[in-house]
Amino acid sequence: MASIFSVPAPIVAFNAHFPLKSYPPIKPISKSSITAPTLWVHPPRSLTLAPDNVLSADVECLKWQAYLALRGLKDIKIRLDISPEGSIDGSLPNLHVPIGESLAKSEKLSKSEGAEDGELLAAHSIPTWVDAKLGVDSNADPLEGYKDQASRVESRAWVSLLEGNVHAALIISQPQPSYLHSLLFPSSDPPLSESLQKILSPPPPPLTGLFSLLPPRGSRVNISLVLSQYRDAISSLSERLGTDNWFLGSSQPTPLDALAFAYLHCILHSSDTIRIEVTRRVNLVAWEWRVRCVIRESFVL
Amino acid sequence: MADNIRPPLHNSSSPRDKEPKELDKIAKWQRERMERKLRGEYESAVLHLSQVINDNLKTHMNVSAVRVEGATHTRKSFLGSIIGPSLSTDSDSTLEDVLHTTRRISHALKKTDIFSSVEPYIDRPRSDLASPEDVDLVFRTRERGRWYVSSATEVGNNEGSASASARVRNVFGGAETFEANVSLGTKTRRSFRASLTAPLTPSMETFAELSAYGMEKDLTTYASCTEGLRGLRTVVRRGSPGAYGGAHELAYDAVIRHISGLTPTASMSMRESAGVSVKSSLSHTFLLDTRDDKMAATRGAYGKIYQEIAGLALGGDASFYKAEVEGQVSRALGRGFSASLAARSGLLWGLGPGKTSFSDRFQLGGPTSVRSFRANSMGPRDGADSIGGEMYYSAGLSVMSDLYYPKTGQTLPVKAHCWLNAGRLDGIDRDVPLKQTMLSSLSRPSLSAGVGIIYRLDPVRVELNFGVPLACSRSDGARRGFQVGMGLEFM
Repeated sequence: MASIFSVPAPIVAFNAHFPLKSYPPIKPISKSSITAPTLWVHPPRSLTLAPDNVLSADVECLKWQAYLALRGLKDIKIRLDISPEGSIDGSLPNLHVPIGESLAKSEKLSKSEGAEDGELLAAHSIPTWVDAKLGVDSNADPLEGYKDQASRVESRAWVSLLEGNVHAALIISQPQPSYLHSLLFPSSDPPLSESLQKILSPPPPPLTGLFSLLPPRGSRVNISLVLSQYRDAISSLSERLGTDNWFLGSSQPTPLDALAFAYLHCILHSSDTIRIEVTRRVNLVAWEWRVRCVIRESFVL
Repeated sequence: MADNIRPPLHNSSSPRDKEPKELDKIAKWQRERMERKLRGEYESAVLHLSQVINDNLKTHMNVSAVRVEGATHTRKSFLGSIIGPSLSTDSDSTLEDVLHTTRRISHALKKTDIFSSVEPYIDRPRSDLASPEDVDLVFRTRERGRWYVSSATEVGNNEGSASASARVRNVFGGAETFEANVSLGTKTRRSFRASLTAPLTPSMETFAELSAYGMEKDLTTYASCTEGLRGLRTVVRRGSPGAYGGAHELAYDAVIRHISGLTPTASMSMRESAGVSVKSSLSHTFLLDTRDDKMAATRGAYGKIYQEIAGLALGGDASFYKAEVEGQVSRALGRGFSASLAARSGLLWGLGPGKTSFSDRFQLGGPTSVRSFRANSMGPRDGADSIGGEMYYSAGLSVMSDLYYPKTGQTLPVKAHCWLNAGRLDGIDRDVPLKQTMLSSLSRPSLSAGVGIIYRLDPVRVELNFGVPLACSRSDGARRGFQVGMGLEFM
């Protein structure tokens, strides 16, 4: 659409002469170019406690670390100094890849200004990138890596159980920051009540009553019920794994294994309330340990 | 009836119709005569009083008591602390000493800014034990209103804001002032500030201020993010910028900075800068401003030196030393012309192992700094983001002229000016000697020149300029053509 006000031609002609002299652009100092795929994750529990210092303390980040490792990728760098605010959609993990390995492969793009910055991918784009990297098409397999159709359908139920009851128990058991701390230090994480509203089914009722004059806030969580459901879930998980190498009897690791590992690893480093349910089940502890060794070998600091 | 009315009809609308005008002249003459007489009597009385005082300056007289009337909300101990130092301990005092004491106390009371009026007078002593040479000093005062609340809605300079302010004067009866301000806007989205100021010395030269503040600034136009600040600040302030010796300010600042709300196109540098950081710093500011006018001074100069040290033993994530120097000289050239030369420079030196943070770095460019460049668009750039620099300089030379109405020759409220600006913002590479970085920066200044008009809207100055960049870095956000500026301090 043409502008109502246009700059008179003589002024445009006059302006075209300027600037009379141009200097080279001023670039940021100490900016390094990306050379290898790098996963931005929350920091581990301890940076000095090798070799577990490559495993993020955050369950969401660990899920994707496990996913990448179980898909067979090696030598993936991890970066711990990026805040969630700096990532796409404000949540970690993000995968930072060189422009040569980006999803939008183009000769022109690789030679353009800023190509040294590579491409940043949100977590939901990671499977597509892994497929491109490995040269496979996961969508072509109707069983998604599971041994049969029934297992594929069953996997959905396990995912729902892990991301529902187990996740809720995990976040309830984690210490919450004090009110003063949360007031002074802004956090990218939603408040506990908000997270539980999204996870639990049915969602817990708000703290205020239906006819209250106050707007609905907080949530009334039945902690004993959540923990009871959690105990049942872990028990079922242990029984279903049995002595298999991978969940649901698959011959190769599946996304469900990545998910289960992330939760089991975080639970094993959580408070006694929920840890004890896993530690008393030898097959889960042994499986977590075996998968942990596989995963930490895929990442470098 | 109507048939009896015949023109011409006389105008009876004016109540003084046909009244003899000589009466006016007589009344005016009488009034002037009375004024002359009263003025004469007053002058005679003043002369007589002066004569009486001058003749009795050496008369022995002592201050028996000092009474402050009308200071109902002010603490006695506070009044005692500001009156005490003004009283003479000399037992052999005279009327002259008493008058000097009165003036000193009156000045000290006015300086507290608590009273809207202070009327001193000398009274007979109330004490029965007073000697005939004793007098009481009485100060009739009226305290200013203690409460002040205001709200405002402002639209302009590409920003709209609504604000509410409250001020409580003399909160605890010792000239303390509490101020609170809350505002919502489009660029500075949210801000609040609450401060308590209290005098530290009876001379009212030194003040302490404790303030808590918070704000959220929208920086998406040049850095693809928003910045939230929540902090506490303690300041000790001494002197005034216009006085001999200038003003000194020593401050401690503890602030939590939060870079968030990144746009999808944010650069890698900004993504690395995002998150929470804590700054704990000590700073000193020296300010001297002897100019007779901020916009078109004919004498005097302006100078500011700012130094800040953060981190180390003070704690926090940010560790740096920061220094900024600013100066301006303006002179009248005659025939309504005046010239102004201003310069600013700053250095940020990281004291920690990592990079300096975005929140601490300098930004340069814009109508109030280097004209013909977009606001904060100069210096190191990553993609579309100005990530700030660690060393900058800027300078401006302006020649201003009064403008006149063509017919009447009266001065217009606007001035015309032509200007030449220079400046550059750079990062500091620690692997290269600082001197080399400085010389490299000085050898490649961005330059701009132009003409414009200035409108004075005290204390704000509004400019409309037409300018062009003469030299610039390819990463600078040069702006050719018209640019509007609004601010308090300009280059």
